[in-house]
Amino acid sequence: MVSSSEYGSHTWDLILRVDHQHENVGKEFPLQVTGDLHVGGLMLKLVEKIKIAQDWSDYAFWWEQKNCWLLKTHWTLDKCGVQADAKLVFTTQHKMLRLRLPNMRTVRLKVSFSSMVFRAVSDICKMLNIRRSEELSLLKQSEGTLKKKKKKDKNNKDLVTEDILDLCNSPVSSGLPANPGLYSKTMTPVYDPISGSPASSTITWFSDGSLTEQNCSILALSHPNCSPETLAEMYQPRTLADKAKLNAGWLDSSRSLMEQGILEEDQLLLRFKYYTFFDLNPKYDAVRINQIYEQARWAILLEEIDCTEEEMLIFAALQYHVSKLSLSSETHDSTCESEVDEVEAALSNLEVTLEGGNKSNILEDITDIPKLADNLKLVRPKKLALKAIKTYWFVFRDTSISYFKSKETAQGEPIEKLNIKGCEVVPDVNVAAKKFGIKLLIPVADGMNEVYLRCDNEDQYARWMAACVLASKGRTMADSSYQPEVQKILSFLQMKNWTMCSQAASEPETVDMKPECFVSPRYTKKFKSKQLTARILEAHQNISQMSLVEAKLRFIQAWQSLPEFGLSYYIVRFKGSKKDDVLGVSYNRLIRIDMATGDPITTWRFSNMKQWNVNWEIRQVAIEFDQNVSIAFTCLSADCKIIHEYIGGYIFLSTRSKDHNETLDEELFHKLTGGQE
Amino acid sequence: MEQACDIDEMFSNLLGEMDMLTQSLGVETVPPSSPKVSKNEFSFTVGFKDLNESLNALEDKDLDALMADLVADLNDVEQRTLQAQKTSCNQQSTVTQPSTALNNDIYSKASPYVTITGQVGDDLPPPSPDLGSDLPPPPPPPPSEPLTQEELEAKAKADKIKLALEKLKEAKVKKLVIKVHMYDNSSKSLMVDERQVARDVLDNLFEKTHCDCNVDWCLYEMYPELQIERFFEDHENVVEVLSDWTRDTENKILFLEKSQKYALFKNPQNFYLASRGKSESKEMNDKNKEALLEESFCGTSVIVPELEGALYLKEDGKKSWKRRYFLLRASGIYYVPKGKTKTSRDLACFLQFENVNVYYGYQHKAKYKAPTDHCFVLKHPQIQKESQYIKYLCCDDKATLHQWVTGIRIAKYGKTLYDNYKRAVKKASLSSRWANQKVVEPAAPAGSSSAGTDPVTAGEAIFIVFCADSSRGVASQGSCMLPSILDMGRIRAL
Repeated sequence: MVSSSEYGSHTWDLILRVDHQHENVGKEFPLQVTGDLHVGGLMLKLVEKIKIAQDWSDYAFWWEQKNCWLLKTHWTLDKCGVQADAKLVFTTQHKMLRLRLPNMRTVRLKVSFSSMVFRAVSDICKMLNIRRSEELSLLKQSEGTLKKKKKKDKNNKDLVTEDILDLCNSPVSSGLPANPGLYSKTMTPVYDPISGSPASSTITWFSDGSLTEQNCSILALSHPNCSPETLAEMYQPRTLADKAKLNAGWLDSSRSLMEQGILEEDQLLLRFKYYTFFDLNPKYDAVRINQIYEQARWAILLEEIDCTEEEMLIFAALQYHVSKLSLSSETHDSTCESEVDEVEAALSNLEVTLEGGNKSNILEDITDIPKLADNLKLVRPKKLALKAIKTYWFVFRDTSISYFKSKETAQGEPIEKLNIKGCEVVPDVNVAAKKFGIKLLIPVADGMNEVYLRCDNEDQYARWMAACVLASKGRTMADSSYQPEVQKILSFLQMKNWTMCSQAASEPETVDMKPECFVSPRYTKKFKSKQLTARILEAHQNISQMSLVEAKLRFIQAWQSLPEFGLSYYIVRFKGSKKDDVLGVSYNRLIRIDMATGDPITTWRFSNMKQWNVNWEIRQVAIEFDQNVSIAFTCLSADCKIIHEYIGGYIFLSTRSKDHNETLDEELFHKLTGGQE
Repeated sequence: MEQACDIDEMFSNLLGEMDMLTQSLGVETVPPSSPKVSKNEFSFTVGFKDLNESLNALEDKDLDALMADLVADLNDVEQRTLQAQKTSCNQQSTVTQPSTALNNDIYSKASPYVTITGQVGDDLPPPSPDLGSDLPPPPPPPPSEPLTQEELEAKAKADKIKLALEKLKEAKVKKLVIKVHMYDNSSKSLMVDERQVARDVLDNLFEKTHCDCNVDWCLYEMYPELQIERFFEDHENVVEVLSDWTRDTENKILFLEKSQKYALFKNPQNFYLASRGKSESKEMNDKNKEALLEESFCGTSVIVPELEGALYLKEDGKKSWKRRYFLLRASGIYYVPKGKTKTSRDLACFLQFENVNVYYGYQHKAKYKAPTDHCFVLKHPQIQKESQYIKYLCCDDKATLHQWVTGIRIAKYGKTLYDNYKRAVKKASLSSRWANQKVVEPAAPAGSSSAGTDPVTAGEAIFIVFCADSSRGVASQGSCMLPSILDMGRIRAL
């Protein structure tokens, strides 16, 4: 025994294990130490003893029994409480970690296992070029889902083809706070705000340039990477209680990975935890927007959040649009031309002709609004089920369609002139049956005028349909978006063809573009493929003009508009209650929900909250609101620290403001979320 | 300097050619029209009466202002035409001559005391064939001397081109004279051009009426036939809305105060925090209100208030009403089908907002046997008469009605509503400051109380005064006043 009188003079043996890769060198090193030796001195002694020349700077002592790091190198062993029985491991602070990103891609990168998760996430986001790291955190997959997955893995090994993107060559981040210059408003845009692709190929992504351009496109572009079958396997109907399980695995932001039992090469999920996306800016946020979009997409496909059928179809159409544009933006097709409006087109025409001095063209250029003229069939629904189908000579000009008995009479008065502006255009297509119809619902003073046009073939259909779509929005075929619109319709019809011969389809892309990839499996069961395509096509009408980033943002917005958006569920027991309830935590409120029916019982808003505190003894969260309302509950589906951190985190995020300088007040975060354990 | 002259000359040549173009376009689009003439003449009389009546009803001051507007327009056009022609080839003078003559003509004719002659109709009035055939040959191609424009600054060129396009655009501008019914049963006529939104028209009315300019003032559209009404949102294009009205419409535009218009922003808690089933209004301090609005309208997406409950739906073509459970979502209005739950995936879509406007129904209890008089109506703006495409809904009480109408407006217009409100507040505070500074102005509204206008008579005298038909593509600016003068006569009652 070491008596206090001999303090300082007595030495004792300490066995240190060293975590290194050299095969011929032993792992255990006994050292003679004294209690007043400081940790830094111990390191020095140990390194001298190992006698291997290598960079030990990232190494530190990990105390196994106490489950903590000895990072304060000036502390003495006595101060740390280290005695002879302590098992200290000399190991690297940064280790490889596999991270599943919101887009279901896995990346492998070197992460600090010794700094607090909050800081580690901030470093990860810096590496991935995601701004606003405070909105993200790391999630451990709950055991239930893991087990289920393993079972499946046996059946079908390459369920989700895991191609891991290795980012391990990136320089080790020293854990310094993120360079504020990266977030500076004055920096030049790094992404094309329309397509989301890098603004310049020679761009250096970060101060330390760890992402190659290719890696960046993997992060910033959406890749439809699942077949309907995979989706069906991943999908599982979820009750509120199941959803509560998903949220139990959030790591504690104020402790390190190592302290939370995470080992090297473990897999964690990187997810947006707080559903308040601050200052989304297409110029800087290509990766961030894409990852939010992906997280939203998967939440909807896997029905982690509920939506209606109509909403599902809008989501499907947006996904189709995004994947289509992503494919074409990879092949460097420019999609931004469609934004140029008529006047500008006319302007540039004028300019060109002025410069060229060719006067005779000017007039044509400004005034020649292109027209379509074809023999089409007109179907008018009659009262008594009999439909009259008759062929007429149709002329599409400006934003209206006129039809005549025949081509010869086209100079005279049309039989009828249909004004397409403001009308509803609905595709009425069945590729298998070679039916290419356009349904027009034209509002007139006394109701809606229903008109069906039938085209002979796909090409004709695409041209007329595109013209109708533009005209319904008040644009003519002179608009520069006309040709792209025709192309889009044609390619959509091709998707329809793929589904017709899906058995024969072998190309990977064609499989990816199946309509079943864009809706949750519930709807795949509910609809036949044909119906589904037709309905996605219908929903696609309204969004076909959008750019890639616009479509993603619209998707995110539609997701945010769902009533259950941003709710994280926990099973709790309220003080004084005899049964379990579900507590929904959202960015602005807490909701008590009946577990059986899913009906909301009470809502408390954060804006009315006076204070909250945690009784760590009995692990109870108590919250006090205005007007003397106070509640208290214990959490059954997760540690109460997780709920505490969620609430504190949202309060922290609500303190952000655009006027503040953009460095993050990390201290405040820990003050609000840390426990006083 | 020399180069500048060159470009000037080229520019005027260009304008000249545009003139030629529009003239020939005018000739091209002469409709055969013999069967239509009678119809035109018939409607002509209708429009004519109304025009005279309403012009007579105008206060002298207003009329002067209106005419000043018109004359300014015409003068402007004329001047530009002249300028263009002065610098262009002399051959054009033949055209200039008649145009100015006609121009003068119209000045005198457009006074309220002189009958205006002209045709009324939806179709373009045919320009007289004589004029068409009298047109001079197109100007010769511009001198093909070596161009010096490379040396010109690109900016100067761009400006010129912009100006040219601006002119082309302006030529297409449609203008309406509308009669607005005031709060005191009088009415005012004012000119609205197709670029103006409701906010512009309101500002205009503020100037004319000396009202207190508070945010509740709105333009109000009333359909006596359907017994529905609604206020214009401040960003809505007035001419666009009005052009959906039929020619024989009884619809009216009113200028009045409606607290419902911006009640949402004055007391957001009544819409966002209203507890289910209870409809009493709550108090909230200003700071919290602002925070609530900020949260609801200034995030990445606008939050639509959670709203659900049983409403009565009028069954198609019948006067019977069925009670159903409806829910409002950002994507539309849904109902719970029989035997289903209110979970999202079971909901059936009742209606989406893209193509419909929301209206208040009035006295539908009497008209359609509605259970209460708290009704709202959803319809495509172009539908003007009874139709199965109009959806009638009925709420139990007034508060619920306002919640639904406001909720639908939020879902449909989003952040625009908030922007509108902020602009209205700014305007109101600005004018109240003015009012405080000079107390000379009489506080009482100086609306014209001219006799003889029964506000409910048919044909509310909305007529197009000066417009170029879009079917003609580029219309006439420099085309020597021909189309504009004809248009001047092409007054039609909508």
